[in-house]
Amino acid sequence: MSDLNSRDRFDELDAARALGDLSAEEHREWSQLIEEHGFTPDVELDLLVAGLDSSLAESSDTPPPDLIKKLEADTARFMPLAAETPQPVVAEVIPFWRHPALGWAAAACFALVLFMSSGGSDAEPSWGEQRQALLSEQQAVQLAFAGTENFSGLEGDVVWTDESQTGFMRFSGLPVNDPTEAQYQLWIVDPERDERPVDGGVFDIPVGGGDVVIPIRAALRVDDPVAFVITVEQPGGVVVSKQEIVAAIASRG
Amino acid sequence: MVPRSNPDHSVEEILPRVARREPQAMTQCIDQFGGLVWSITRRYVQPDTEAEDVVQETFAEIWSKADRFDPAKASSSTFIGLVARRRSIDWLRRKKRRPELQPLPEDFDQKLPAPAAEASRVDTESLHAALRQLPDEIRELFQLHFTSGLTHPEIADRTGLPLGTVKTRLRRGLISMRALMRGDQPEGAAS
Repeated sequence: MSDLNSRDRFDELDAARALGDLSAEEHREWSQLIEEHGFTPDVELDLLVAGLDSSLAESSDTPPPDLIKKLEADTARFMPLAAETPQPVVAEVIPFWRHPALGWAAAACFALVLFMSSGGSDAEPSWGEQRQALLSEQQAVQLAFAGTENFSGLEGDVVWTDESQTGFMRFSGLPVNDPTEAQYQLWIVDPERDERPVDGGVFDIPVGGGDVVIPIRAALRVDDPVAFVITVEQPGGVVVSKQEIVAAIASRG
Repeated sequence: MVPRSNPDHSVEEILPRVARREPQAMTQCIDQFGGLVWSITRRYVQPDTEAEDVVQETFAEIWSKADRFDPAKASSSTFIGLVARRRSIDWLRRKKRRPELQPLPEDFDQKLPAPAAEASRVDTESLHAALRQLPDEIRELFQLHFTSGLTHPEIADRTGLPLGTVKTRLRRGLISMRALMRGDQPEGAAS
């Protein structure tokens, strides 16, 4: 095929790509032409299709009310300056009397003292208690966090269930952060869903941290997470992380 | 979709305001373009629960890439339509295991053609002007595809044309549109 004919053929296949109707065989031919002739896909064709899509559509459907609510909730996350500003999660410090190293007897004594002094309480379970309850669920997945080079002192894990889309992280040794300088952000990796990780929420480690528990706030549904990654980001977090500072990773296998 | 709010700013100002992270700009963006994104996404993505996820991803990408929007190259609706198509095709590729569907590269917005060189700004007015210069049979196929939302087999059924002819005419029609938008004379549209 002459270069001129190749160019014409590539243009036609590239138009098919922009229209979304390349067959598998045509895709192979399109890729081969790129490899052999150095042609590049023309974004102008995509722009034209998008322009036709948005200009010629007979009417726009109204998104469902639930979707509008989700988008507004997302917006509040995207835009810290928006009216409904979401606050980053401040990790819940696990009281020292519940620390496993103290043993059951000491923990029971502290618990008894606390119960008697409070006269009993029907307050909402703490995040630590909710995490413990989640752990007992059959579908719950528990993965250990490993700190990266500058965070090698940390220990922790993540507990997650796809069914309820809830989860908690537990850490000890994750350094306290100054929220005006930087904040931690969780990313949930689910390749079946998208090549880009899903934002799992921004959080802070308070002074006096020690052992802490943080709930996961997944921005989108994740059905088969293979890894949970903690990054250090600018205050407020980011929508897409460059993952320049990775603090810890918990992954399957 | 009728916008729920009536912003003082023009529609074309919304994306630059999102890029400047102005309060309420993203909410207005959803009000203004939510219907468009929903309509485009549902053409490709079903069921609706999946389409809702893709719409959320689309607006997340709009938020993160609003600073790449260049009003000299495209209208806001074209830019947003581009992102919606990209995310929808990405979904199709993942879910239906169709590697032949090629979404735009991640840095697609940096590769948009320079307006001063060849391409003219892609907006409704210039698109309609170019469409008017296409042969009737091509324009009819464009309307069936983009206006009525028919798939290529549905267009073949409706018009009685062989499926291959429908595909070829749409492809070559798009190439002719590109030439017209650039101010070139298209080489006779396909038959």
